[in-house]
Amino acid sequence: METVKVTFQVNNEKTVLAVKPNETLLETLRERLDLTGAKESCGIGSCGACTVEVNGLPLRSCIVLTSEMEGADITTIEGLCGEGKLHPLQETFMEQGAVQCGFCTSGMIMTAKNLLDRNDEPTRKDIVNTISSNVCRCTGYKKIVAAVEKAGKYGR
Amino acid sequence: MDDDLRVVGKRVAAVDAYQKVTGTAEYCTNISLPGMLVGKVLRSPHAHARVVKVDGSKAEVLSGVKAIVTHQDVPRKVFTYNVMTYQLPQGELQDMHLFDHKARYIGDPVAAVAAVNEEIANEALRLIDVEYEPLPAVFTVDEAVKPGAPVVHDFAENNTPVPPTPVFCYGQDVEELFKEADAIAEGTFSTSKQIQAGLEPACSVAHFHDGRLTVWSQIQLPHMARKMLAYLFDLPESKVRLIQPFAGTGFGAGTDLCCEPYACALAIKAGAPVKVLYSRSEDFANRITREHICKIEMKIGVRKDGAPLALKAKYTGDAGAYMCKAASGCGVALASNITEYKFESMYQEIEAIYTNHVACGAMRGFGGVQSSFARESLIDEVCEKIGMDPIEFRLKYHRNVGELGWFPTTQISSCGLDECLRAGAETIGWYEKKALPKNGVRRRGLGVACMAWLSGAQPMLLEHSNAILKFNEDGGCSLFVSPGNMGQGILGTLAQIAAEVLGLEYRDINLIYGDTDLTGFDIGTHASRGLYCIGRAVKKAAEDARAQILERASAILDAPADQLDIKDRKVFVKNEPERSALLSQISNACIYDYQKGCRQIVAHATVDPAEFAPPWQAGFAEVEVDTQTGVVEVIRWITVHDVGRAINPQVVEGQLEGGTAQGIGFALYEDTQIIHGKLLTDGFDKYRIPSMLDLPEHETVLVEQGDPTGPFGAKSVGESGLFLQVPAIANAIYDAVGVRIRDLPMSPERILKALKEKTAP
Repeated sequence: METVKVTFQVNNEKTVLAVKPNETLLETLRERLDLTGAKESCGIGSCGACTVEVNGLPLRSCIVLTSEMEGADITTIEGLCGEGKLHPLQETFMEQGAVQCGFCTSGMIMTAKNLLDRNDEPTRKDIVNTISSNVCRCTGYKKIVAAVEKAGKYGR
Repeated sequence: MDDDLRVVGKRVAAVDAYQKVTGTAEYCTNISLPGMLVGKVLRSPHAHARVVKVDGSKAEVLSGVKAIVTHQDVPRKVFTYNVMTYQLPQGELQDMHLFDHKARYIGDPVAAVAAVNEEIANEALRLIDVEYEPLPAVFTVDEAVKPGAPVVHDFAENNTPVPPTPVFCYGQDVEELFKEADAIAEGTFSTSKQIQAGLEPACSVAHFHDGRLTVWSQIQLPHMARKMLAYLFDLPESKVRLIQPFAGTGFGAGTDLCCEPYACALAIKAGAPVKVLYSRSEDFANRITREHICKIEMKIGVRKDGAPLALKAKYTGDAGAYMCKAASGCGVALASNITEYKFESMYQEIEAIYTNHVACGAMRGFGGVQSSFARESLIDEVCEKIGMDPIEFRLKYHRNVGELGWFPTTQISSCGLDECLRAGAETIGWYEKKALPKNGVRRRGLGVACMAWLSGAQPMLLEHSNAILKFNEDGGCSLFVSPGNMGQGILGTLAQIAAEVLGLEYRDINLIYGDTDLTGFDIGTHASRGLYCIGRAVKKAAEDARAQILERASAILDAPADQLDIKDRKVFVKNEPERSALLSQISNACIYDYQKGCRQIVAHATVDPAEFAPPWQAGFAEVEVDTQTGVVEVIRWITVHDVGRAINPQVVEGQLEGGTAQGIGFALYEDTQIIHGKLLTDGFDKYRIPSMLDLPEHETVLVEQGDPTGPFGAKSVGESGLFLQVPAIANAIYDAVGVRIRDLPMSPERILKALKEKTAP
């Protein structure tokens, strides 16, 4: 299969790759760049476990083609902690017990991060409405909501 | 209760949380080894067919294909995915072959391939020439037992490997007691085949090198999985190493083998590491589901004061194509009834029947969830008949300490159900809300249900655990344990137990787990056993290590060992705390002081508990039923749970809150739609699990009275979170609109149908 050359930024690093036209961003991140924080669960964009940030928007990387990422600025969970310091969401997810099996965690945190970037005082309703796009089978969500609420306060 | 605990009872972050929030945690699906191949399974498109021929010659010559395995390539051995067979002296029924001459469900493996990439592996699957002779198939237990029905297994007459068999009956003839009863309630209940639906799809990696087979697996029962794989591939157990990275799945799914045998067969033939990763639809359709108790017929009788006389029940399991956990699911279902109420007599039967469905494994609340649905619904019904409040009935007639437990010879060691019932009734406003009138289109109702469960399936099953503690010269220690690690918080909880005994901080305990080469034997995680059984082993090992430390410190501090204590990494004389030695000084001496003798502090403990320490729970649901649409909205859910002692309350709440979501899903909409043996709901877009928007306000209240047999009084709660939503919601629906729903899920269609039947003349 022919390949397409793509240049983009991942976690502030310039990346140049030749990719197959049908390669998903999730495959590129996990299999070529060894960034395995984003997870494949449903493979059809319905669960949110693969969420990463692309140009400031949370996207389901399992249904995004890498060949369309020319010039994009991508942040994954691995790029969230700067200079060894965790993002407030990473801290509160640990502290509030919002992590069990952890398979949804990267996607949850990336989705919540985007909310906090846009809205530094989200109400409970804002939080639930935003991150209800992501599913978790372990926690019953209560501690996830609490973690996002607390991180919102942290940020302020 | 002992209240000067420093580590036990504290809310501390899970030990594996850091790796998970930074995206660095290792899962099976992340494993990548040099030269690793992609393994794929070729599955039967027929629900029932003879496999006449499997010809891989065209696939074999495809460039990039490294191995093809069919029934010709593996030792022909009867086995079962259900590795729990080793926990019973007589074992479980084994009726599977790795690749059989007959396919018995849509998806039954016929061959497998390993290739350098996924595209080539998929192409190779297409090139394998399989000749099938399709056979008539059977999809319901009622059809399967009819004369002339298609035969799923030749050895099982009438497709009935387990004919109606009475189990754990006690007391006098129940029929005689029903004659004395003032009120009787009976009914037939059906439940669906819930999918565990962990977010990580089934995955296993295997590597056969230098005569040793290494397997990365999501299994919850590592040592028994090792034993089964060793048997399948003619290897001694010591030549098989099972590694468990973090699992993004579980809830019972890991109590059975899944893709491991296929990965192993391919890796052995290819001589290279092979990863088998199921797609989501392959995972939902082929990973064995919740034990499917398709029919429960139950009858109970009570006196007019409520005194429970007799309970009679029959559980019918749709085993699917292989037995796996069908019979044991039915067996545990009936056993769980025994602990709950003081019935004078009980007669219960189980039956398991083969059909051409995928086999059943286990899911959280194994059997007990289904029997609670039937029992707690009928209790509600008799209470109405005799005019007794359902909470009063339960307060008066639940079993208590010293009485018969779930299995003959067991006794109940603790019971906090009274407090659970009273606290829950008050929190939800039971008596006030019950008195409110019901009218309008949307009507509200309240329901209650109770359960008693277990902390491990002993003494029916072997529940052997080991813990090893090893002190380094700096006073830190490593704890070697082997639970199934699926994020339930067991690792940190075990560390808290050890730290408490040893006067250490929780972070001082370095956990070594998830590798059968490194840890002692352990059954692993199932039947809510982890905290209770492994926790008891950890506490015992820690007490041994503590005694060794004090003995050594006694010489250093020149004081008798029984007058010493450990706190904050320091050993001191109890009534002269300033006479002290650092733990690091003592453990260093144990390793390097050759003048006084070297003996590193290493402790090992084995446990095989006899007690079962039942956790108790009362669940309360408030629902609103729309009488025009049949939609049930859960307004509020409250669980009050007797956990003995919460070692880490945050972890305990997490278990119960997660169970609540799964229980509400099971009650209202999680449904496996299967038509002619084909699973239609094979993705998260079709099989709906609760999202954040679907859940009501839910609260968890913990009751901690301590169990005399549990580590620091703790009992296990791994499964109980999803026990009571089904019966409590069913009872609340009745309270709201006066219809009894006996089939799961309690969908709007079923509610509307019941409402229509109720108003029909």
